[in-house]
Amino acid sequence: MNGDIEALLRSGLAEQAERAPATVDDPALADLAIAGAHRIRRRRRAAAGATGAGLLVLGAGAFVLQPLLATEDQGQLAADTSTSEVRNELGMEFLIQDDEGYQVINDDGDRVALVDYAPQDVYRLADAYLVVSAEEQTTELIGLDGAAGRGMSWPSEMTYNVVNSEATQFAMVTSNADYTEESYAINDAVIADRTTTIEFTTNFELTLADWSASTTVFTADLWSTTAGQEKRWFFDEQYSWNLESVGYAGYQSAVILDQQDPSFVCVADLEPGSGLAQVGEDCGRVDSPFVQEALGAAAVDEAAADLVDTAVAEFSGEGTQIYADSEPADLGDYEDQYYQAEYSQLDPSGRWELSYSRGDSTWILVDYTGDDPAVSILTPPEGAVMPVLDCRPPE
Amino acid sequence: MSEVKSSQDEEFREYVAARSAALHRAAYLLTGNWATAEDLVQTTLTKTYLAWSRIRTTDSIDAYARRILYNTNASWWRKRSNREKPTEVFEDRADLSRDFTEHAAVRDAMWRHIAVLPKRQRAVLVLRYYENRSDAQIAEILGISIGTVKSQASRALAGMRKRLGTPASALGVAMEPREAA
Repeated sequence: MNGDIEALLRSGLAEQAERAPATVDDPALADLAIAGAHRIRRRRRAAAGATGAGLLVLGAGAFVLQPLLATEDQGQLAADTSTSEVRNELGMEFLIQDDEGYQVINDDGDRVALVDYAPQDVYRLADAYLVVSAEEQTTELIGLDGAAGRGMSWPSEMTYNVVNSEATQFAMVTSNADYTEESYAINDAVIADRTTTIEFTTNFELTLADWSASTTVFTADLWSTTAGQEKRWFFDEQYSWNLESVGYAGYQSAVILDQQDPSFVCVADLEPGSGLAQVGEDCGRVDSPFVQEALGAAAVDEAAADLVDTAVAEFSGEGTQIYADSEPADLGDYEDQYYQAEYSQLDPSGRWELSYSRGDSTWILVDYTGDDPAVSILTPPEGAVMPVLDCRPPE
Repeated sequence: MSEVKSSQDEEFREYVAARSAALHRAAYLLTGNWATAEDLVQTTLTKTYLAWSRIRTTDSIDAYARRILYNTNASWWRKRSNREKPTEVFEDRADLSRDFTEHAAVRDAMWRHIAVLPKRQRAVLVLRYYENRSDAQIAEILGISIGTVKSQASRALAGMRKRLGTPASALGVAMEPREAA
């Protein structure tokens, strides 16, 4: 079947692409691009000049005078940023490799030994590090002081991890071979002798986005069926979403956000330990009385509403995620390095973005914490492999 | 100096004349509508010109432009995703005035499905099945791991398999959940 789909994709995409507009050979296209590029360069010169005037007072004359004196087009000049600065100001931690294996340099500047294999990603959770390795097909929880934690082998090479917004739990997520359903194993992110794992399995159409002790938040395609109509729908019953499994696992409610319009949601009332509290899901705008009432009836804790509001904001691009409130960074002369770097990592809270190739002496840092994105050149610590991704909610 | 500039500009114009159609086609497959595709290509060409003096003598001009195209589209998505709605995406719906053959219906169903895919999944499909790139090349262009390329492709194919698996679903005759009594 995959072969048929792939053949259809090849022919269908080629056919679709051939419906090219008549304007593509417009000779003005290149001239518009050239004119646009000149405008950007003029803006960069002006910005660099203005920045220079401010910094000149601080005695950085030799550096900042350059854009004012240069006769050729100059890109935006980026200031150097040190490891200690990003540690103190952005709370950034790094994974480094040395003779003793892989270690974290934490936000206090201390080294914490993690593992002896190369991780794919390292996440900072509330009380532990989560070390994920696609090569080893393992997920390992390690204490903030390097204390041994739990190592979990992946059930499948397609397994991946999701961390909740409080960074107190993580999920091991694995689809079945037919991609018709996905199994979730929710684990506490603490180093303890005995822990509990909560498991449920839902239709592949649902994707777990966040959760609390009482409520699970998923995303799915709702709009193509509902077209935004507010009423009770029966997705679970007719599309075999298997929300019953979520109820059996102990949750009071499941809230499903539309993939395209996250402010349109469906609320399923669950019976912890038993399955469904009612058949059908109440769907509508998240701030509508209909949905708010359904949410209040389904989940007993007030935090559920906040959880849903936060998820809607995040998926609507109005939360803390990157680019939510700021214009794209003007990369200036570092555009090449930015686009040609092997890796790009985004801070889960949207405070920074790093573009880098391992082994490079400098990495490009985009700081989104100010009014405008600020591009600078970061000198990473020796042996730096990647930044640690901090999943904790912003303070 | 101005002669050098003029020569560079001419080279750039030649590049645009030779490659803009291909860039437009890829941009259309990525964005799903012509207006956004044209904006995306214009932005890509502007960024390419900004780097022209450095890349014009290399063999990787087109690779550079492609990477900008795909990454700019991704960053637009991050900024604009909350304003995109399915009804705005389906600009190119099936033309009911022409013969509504099964082939056309299936192709249109496929296109409707691609149009609502997450941007990264759509980019992976376009690169793999339209541009015939290897997974390693896709990973390089999108700045993601090969494993992520595979998982995104698998997820997109699984969704398509489900939606196009039967003639009824391929033709968009989907069963509607029953309404409340």
